[in-house]
Amino acid sequence: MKNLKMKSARAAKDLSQQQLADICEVSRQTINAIEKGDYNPTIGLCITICRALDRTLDELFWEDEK
Amino acid sequence: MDYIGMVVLGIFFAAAFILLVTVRYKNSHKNEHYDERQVLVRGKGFRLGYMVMCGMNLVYGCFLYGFTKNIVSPQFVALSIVFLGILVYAVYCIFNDAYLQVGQKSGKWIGLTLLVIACNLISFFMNKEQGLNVNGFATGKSLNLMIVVVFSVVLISFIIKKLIDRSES
Repeated sequence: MKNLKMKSARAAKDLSQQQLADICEVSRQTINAIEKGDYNPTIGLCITICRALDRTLDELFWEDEK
Repeated sequence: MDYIGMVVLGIFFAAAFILLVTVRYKNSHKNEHYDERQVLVRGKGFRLGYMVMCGMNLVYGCFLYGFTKNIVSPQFVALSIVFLGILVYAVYCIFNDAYLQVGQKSGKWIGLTLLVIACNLISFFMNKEQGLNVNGFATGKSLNLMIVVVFSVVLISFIIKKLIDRSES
């Protein structure tokens, strides 16, 4: 499932995928894979991304029940 | 071993030692690393390459060895299968963005690959051996050719991946 919350949070901070990747010390393709839902990051990387985007884990990675 | 031979050997080991120390020093001051997704992809690639290698060995040993041993050197086939496994691993990693570490530039690797291809092509053409297979053994020439083919595939994969990335961005 696509992570649109993360994508919009990144866009709100006016960061490109490469810039966010540089902050988190991962490759741009890894950020792209997370946003596309192709890769589930570890909790460590989730926390790093949340810190970089000034969001909480819930805001970026919690999926609401349908 | 004569005096000159020992001097050459000494210079060779000294150069190898200096190279090793330099590479280790440079690597310890760099921030290049594989991220967690890349480590996973590399693990999968390694498994895939290993399975291909085992499968090819099995197929060759069971079905092809008997009637091809007089046409193609078994030693050459065994080496080709190892190279094929490495190639599968490399290409899988390249297309899943796990070949280069975070922060590494592909230009350096493309240059290095070109250098390996050029060196082996020069060796291939300078080599005086006749044919690729002598008395059932692969010649140095055939190994040069195999390395050229393997590295060319890696190079082409690099270029295709670069073009895909460019069109995506």
